[in-house]
Amino acid sequence: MRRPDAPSNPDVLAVDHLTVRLGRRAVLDDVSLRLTDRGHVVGLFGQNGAGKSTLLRCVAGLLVRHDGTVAVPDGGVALLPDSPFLYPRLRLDAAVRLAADLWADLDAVHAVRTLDRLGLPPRLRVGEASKGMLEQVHLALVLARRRRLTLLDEPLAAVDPLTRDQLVDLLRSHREPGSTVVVSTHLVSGLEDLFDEVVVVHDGRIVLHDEVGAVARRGGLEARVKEVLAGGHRAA
Amino acid sequence: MGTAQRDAGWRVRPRRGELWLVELRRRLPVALVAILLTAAAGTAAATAPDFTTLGVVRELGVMLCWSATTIWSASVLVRHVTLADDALPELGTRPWWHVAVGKALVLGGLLLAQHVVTTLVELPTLHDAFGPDLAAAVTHTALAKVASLAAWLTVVLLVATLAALVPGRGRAVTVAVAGLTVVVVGQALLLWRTGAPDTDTFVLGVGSETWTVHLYANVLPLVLTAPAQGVVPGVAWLSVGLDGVVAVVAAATWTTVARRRRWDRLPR
Repeated sequence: MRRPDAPSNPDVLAVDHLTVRLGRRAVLDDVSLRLTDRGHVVGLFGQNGAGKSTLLRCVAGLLVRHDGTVAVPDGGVALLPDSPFLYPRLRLDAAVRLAADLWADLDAVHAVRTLDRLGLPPRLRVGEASKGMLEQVHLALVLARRRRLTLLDEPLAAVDPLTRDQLVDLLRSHREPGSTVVVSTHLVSGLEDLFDEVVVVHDGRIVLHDEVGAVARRGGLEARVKEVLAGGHRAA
Repeated sequence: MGTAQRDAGWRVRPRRGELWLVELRRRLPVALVAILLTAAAGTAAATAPDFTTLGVVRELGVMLCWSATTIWSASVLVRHVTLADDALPELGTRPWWHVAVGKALVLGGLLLAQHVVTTLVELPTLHDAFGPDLAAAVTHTALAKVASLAAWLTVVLLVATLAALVPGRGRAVTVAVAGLTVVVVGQALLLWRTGAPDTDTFVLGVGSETWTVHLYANVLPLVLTAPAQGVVPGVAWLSVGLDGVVAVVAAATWTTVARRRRWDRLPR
């Protein structure tokens, strides 16, 4: 069992009236969001520039210049940012060692098992890896952290369909009862069975937050997300 | 580690100080280039001591390499502290200031190594100037350089941290550069007016005459045309003392600011 026991607090994440400004523009505008179910995979949908990355960075505690509050009662979060963070000259085995030195919560054995299963060679340098491989390495490292809340910012963007399927399989295999994973993406098609909840962000506001089952009953996830984004509903 | 991982060639047993080893490897190429250029210019000048041009090339090479690595060291720390451009440590469980201190120590070590090579290159000139007092001069030179680097790196950490509180990347970098310039120029003026108030002239760079033995206003090498008083004149000790005081004050202030203030640790 990699995850610690669940605490008594019911919320996994509580965001209240979060507003983030970049100059005069509100990147996030009075956003409130509560995630209460552990073991869920939450799809965070929205177009480019909708505010998904900013929301995740606020939750991770990396952006502190904001109004409103962010509470993660279970403690810290693991964040996969939307751009690569490993140094290009690192070999993969050295990357795992470095991550283990920097991240006290990293399960290095878990990370190696995942990388090995994906067929990634330990002596491959980060700078020599393809974009798909790079995404797999980053994802494997972040998923190997013992955190109750994991935030993945666009892990499926700009990879080929085969790699995307591998990444989705990796996410599925990571599903654990005590931990919640939030996956930010602007892709909707073919991901219905991955998610338990769906959150849609549009122009810095949350316009939809519902169970995937409920959304599916109203015409399917893809159609509903497109409908919400097109119509700008305030259904949160 | 399980058998499968060992067989597959994965050697990931955690090592103490892995972060610092990686940081050293990342910074080594730039420092090595500066060290090799310094050594090459010095060796060329030493092989033909009567060839004035080579002597000038050596002096220019040393000066350019020092200027480049000084600016480079500041840029590494500003990028980490002010701009939070190095995402890997930001995502971790170590506090950012811990990583910042480590980066500063690695840079300090490399700059010291560069200084050792520079001193070796300059030994013939120093020997001509100091003769029997060479050991005292070299000891003082090492001490002055250590104090100078300590003052520089702690001031960079402090100024970069204060600049990080300014919203906007462009404005923050401008504040950092302006802040560093103010501190270094301020120290130079203080050293000049306190150490050699009767002189109106000074030059940048390190002199090897007895009355100009290695002065540093923070990281800035300075030659004041002050009267000589022994192999290590009083103004030289003033330079060491001033850098020492600045390093202690900057470190104490930085510790306080870094603990109390928070700012965005990834660019928006």
